[in-house]
Amino acid sequence: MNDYKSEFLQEAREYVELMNQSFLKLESGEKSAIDEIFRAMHTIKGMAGFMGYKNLEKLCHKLESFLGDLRGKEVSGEIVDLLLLSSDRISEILNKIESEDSDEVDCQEIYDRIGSFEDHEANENHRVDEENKVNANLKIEVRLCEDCAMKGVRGLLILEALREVCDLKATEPEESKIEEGCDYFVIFANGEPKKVDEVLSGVAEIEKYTISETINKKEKAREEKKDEKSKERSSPALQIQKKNESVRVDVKVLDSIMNLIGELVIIKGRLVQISGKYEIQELSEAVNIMEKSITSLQDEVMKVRMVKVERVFNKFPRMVRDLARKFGKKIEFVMEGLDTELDRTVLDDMSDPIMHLLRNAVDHGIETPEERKTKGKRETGLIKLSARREKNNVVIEVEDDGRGIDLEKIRRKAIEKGLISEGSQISEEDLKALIFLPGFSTKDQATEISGRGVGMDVVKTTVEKLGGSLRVISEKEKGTKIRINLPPTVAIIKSLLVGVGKQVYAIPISNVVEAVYVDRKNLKSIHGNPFLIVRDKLIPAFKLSEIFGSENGKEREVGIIVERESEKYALIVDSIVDQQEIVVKPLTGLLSKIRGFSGVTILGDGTVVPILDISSLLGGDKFG
Amino acid sequence: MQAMKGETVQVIVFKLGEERYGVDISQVREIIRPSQITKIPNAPDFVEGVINLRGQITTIVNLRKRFGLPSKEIDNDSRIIVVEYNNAVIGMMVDTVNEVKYLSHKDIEALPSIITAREEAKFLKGVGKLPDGLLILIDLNKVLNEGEVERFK
Repeated sequence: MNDYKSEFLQEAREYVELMNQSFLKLESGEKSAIDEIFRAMHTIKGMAGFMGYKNLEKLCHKLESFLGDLRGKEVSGEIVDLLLLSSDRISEILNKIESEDSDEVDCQEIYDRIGSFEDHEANENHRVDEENKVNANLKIEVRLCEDCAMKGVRGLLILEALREVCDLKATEPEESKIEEGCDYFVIFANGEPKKVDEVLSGVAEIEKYTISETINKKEKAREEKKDEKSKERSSPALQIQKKNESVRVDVKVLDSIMNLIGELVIIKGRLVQISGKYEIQELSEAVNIMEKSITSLQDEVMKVRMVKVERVFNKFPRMVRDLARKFGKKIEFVMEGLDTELDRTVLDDMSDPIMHLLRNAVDHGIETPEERKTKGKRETGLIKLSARREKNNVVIEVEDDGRGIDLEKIRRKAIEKGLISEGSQISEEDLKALIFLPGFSTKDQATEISGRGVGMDVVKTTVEKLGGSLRVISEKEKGTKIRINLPPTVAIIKSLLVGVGKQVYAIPISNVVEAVYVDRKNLKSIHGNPFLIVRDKLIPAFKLSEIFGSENGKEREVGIIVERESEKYALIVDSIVDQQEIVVKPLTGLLSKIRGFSGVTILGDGTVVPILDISSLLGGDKFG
Repeated sequence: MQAMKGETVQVIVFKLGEERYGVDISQVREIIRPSQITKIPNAPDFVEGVINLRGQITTIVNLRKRFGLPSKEIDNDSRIIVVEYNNAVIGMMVDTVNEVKYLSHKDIEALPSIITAREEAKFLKGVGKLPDGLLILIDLNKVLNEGEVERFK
């Protein structure tokens, strides 16, 4: 059974995700969504039944019949709330199944709320019973002995005993009748016939019992209906199969393939070097062909690693909706470019930062409906999350039409915190950069989820760690747009190899703006701090040989101009060695928390080269 | 040593200065000669750097520095004991590797807490008594643990 468990969990989670999306569709008036939800719920129920998770099965069953009643009716926000709560509860149960192999989660709240919604039509229970009967896979007939003293009690005992091993769906006659005492009754249940047999064979005073397995009539009925209505009613599983012919691959396998390709790329570099040295024509031809194959192999694997942003974005509508309700705001949430592709690791790492930006937009950006009205804006605020490919980068934007960033407020806050002095001239860009400092928040009262000043700095560091950059575009009362530029992949990067002292270091090309020669004329010291003058602009310079404590004897040095948060810095190195594609290998263990390096790489000749991480290397923020 | 299998441990004996140390052979992957070591600036001072061990990046810890002993130039006798620890591969640079010894469990004595409580002795697990003298057994957990490193600072 355990073999199936992980598959069950994965599939069930996919259906929960599917339902979550459909709930929102339902709320926006798409009535057909209810059928999708119904199907998903039914599938989860079926799987739960098969796996023997009774509690989950029961919950799904209740919800399924609740959904059945909703068909063709108006669906209120409260109902969607309840449905979302239910899907959360299902996720909770799934988590518990994963960690403890138990589905014991209290769902009474949901049952109560469903109960309060349901019309208690007279025949309601009966209808459910009927449905239950056809849902059961076992039909158990029991005849008690003629001389059984207390038939009612015996009957109840039998029912109780059966409850332990299977899921009782319905009885004939009703349970209350059995309680009063009857000789013969039929039980419809879901369970394993063997276990039922074990239980019943141990009960005294039964004259005869039969256990027959019934074909799930409901399923059968469905099948027939499906044929009539053709494709429309096919089960979700089938639809998924039709949509994309794909194989499920464990991400770990993908990672290890990626690692192996990384090794290949390194060895390729080495062979290219060797063949260049010996100048044997046949060898270099063979190496050339191999190089091409490895490059295309690398491209292919890169493609495999790419996933659509949809995968992560899909959870946001739900989140924005919940937040909007919580803060009493009216928000229309739009997502664009869902099929833009991004490396799996990059996308996963970006999930939390985007979530944070959206929270900010809901909480700080969009005003309350009343406020918007007085400002002459549409009552419903707009938040747009978009992704698109732009040249070699992927751009993700979070945009709102809210109140915008109040630069004056930031200035006051910054003065209050002693980050800038009163009356100091500071550019708008610099003021905006302040919001990315840890602990900086203009919100006077911290709310539960945002305004604590944590977050924006995390967003910034995450983006920069991934080799991307971030920009804030904001206009007061018009809105705010946060633009994130990301490289689509991180595992293999283009880099500049530079020499410092005896050692070689790699700088990601994405950071590099240009390189200039350094001489006495353009390297100046101002108040003890070195600056490089490039086209009459002063750029703060950092001598890597000093930072790394290696000796430098070079007369003619090179300044590598790098960009960090739209600020330019010059790294002074001894020489530029090469420009190369390198495979990033993370530093582990004792070196995992090291500042200034994002990892190392192995060059063609086997030497190990550290890769500079510009943002942590230069350390402290301008105002920090 | 004619003690029964299961009651003995095999230890790799190495030297730092005049002192003999031992590490359980089951934790050791291989012993290599120092190759080109790439220094990583900003690393803890006892981390010598990283090497390329057949394509795997391996962090090299200088045990002398880790134990607070005076450092020594790498020479012909220097060796790196490569161990697997917490799924990471780490090399420990030692002065020289001498031999493999069998130690019976009854010949291993835990160090009294008065010794292990001392800062410089916290990496020690026990003392092995051999016919030709004593052998200090080191505790890889403590030598290579990141948490320990941070407390150390």
